Amino acid sequence: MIKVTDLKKSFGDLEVLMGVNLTLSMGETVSIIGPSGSGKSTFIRCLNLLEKPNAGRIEIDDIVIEPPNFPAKIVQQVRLKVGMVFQSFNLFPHYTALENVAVGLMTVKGFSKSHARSLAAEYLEKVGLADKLSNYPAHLSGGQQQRVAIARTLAMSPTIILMDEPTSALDPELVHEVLSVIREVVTEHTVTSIIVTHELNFAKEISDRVFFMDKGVFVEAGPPSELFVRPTKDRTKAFLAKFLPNDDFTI
Amino acid sequence: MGSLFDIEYFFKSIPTIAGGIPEAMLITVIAFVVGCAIGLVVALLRIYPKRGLTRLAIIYVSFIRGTPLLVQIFLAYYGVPLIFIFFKAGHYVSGISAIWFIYISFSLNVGGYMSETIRAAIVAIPKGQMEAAYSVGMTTTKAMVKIILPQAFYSTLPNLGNQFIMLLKNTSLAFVTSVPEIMAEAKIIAGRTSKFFEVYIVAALLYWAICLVLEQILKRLEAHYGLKR
Ligand SMILES: Nc1ncnc2c1ncn2[C@@H]1O[C@H](COP(=O)(O)OP(=O)(O)O)[C@@H](O)[C@H]1O
Ligand SMILES: [Mg+2]
Repeated sequence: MIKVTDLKKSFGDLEVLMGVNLTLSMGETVSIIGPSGSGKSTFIRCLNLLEKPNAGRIEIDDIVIEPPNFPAKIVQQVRLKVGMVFQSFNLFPHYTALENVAVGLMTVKGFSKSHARSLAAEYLEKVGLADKLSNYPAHLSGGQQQRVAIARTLAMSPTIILMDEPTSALDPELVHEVLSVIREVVTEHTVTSIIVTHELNFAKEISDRVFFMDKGVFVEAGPPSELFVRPTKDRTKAFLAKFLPNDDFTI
Repeated sequence: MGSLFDIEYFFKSIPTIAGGIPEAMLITVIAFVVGCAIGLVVALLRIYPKRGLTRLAIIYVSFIRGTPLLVQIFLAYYGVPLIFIFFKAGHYVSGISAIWFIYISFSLNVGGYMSETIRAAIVAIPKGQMEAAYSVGMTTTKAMVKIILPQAFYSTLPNLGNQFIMLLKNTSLAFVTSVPEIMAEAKIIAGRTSKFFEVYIVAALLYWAICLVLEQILKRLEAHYGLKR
């Protein structure tokens, strides 16, 4: 369970999140869409405390975060529960694909090297990279790198996975392979997923609910069958009109 | 003084002067290792400030970079005994071999320069690396040890190598404390025979040869670790 109440975040004078509310139940898959600069990244980065919100409240299962206090122990608990996939992959370049996945298992979970490596190999197999275990990131395509990053996140068995535009940095022909891995993750695993994306068709297909963010608040939210087809707010309509100029979204 | 250059004496003096190589290498290795440790601590103090300590670190680096090594050697040579005397342990001073003042002054010197190298290497690692480490649940310390420092090390390896070579050449200054390194050996026999040029040419060639060897080793290391990026 995630419950975010009136979350606010500024960078200096720039107010980015102006009171964000959201409640998700276990296993839900939701997408966040919205114009660039509206605060989508800032919001999900607050959820694993890569950004420290200024005000509001975040509850993740039994953990409560109330700014301005972020005790190291709480931060650690949150990050063990919440995994993150980045737009730019952020693989560790000095480790092979296998080591990228195994390093967290060893240093954070305390698994033995052999246990960590065999588990890491399983996860890499799941994302279709069984033959790339010993490749360094520099020798992997963008799509392969992002799949390693997904394996690295899954291996820590988080209950919540955040993805910040996981396909935006990819060449168009590589988007598909990453989307199908994400599709598998959200359908086969019992994780709660929050995906920031501009792939509206994909969002529509996999999401239980879609949240539209603009200027630091969620303007509108609902199942894709409603939000995409019958948006009620003008700002949502304007955004969708720009991104969905055709009639793809009749269900 | 028969000829301009006594080639026979040139060859004859090689073994004696080369006898200073182990001492020079020892100073280099010790000062490098201790200096790296000091440099790392100072670099981290500047990246993760701890009020008073960070100010102290900044003054230390500024002093090391702003004063000549030769002066620092003299300061250690005459200053460290004063510290012993201050703590009422003056009777130990005569038992301390000059080499320790060299180890201390060289280590502090290397530490000052190294801190800047290490700091630059750490802050050059993209922010996303630390964030990814945090996201798999690592603490800052674990992320430093497992993710940031190894990458910083690989990327700054050429700089570390250059500092090592620089340091080796600087050990020639240790002769002022009569530590028997290359330069001190050369000076002793040059004084005996007045064949200064022959002797210092030997010293120069020895330094040069060692540096060439070190450069080769460094190239190998870079090639090896370069594969990891
Ligand atoms: N670390 C930061 N420092 C200052 N401003 C930031 C920082 N991160 C984001 N911003 C600003 O916050 C606003 C929202 O950014 P972001 O959350 O990345 O939006 P989105 O992901 O929706 O494109 C932007 O104006 C951006 O420039
Ligand atoms: Mg963004």
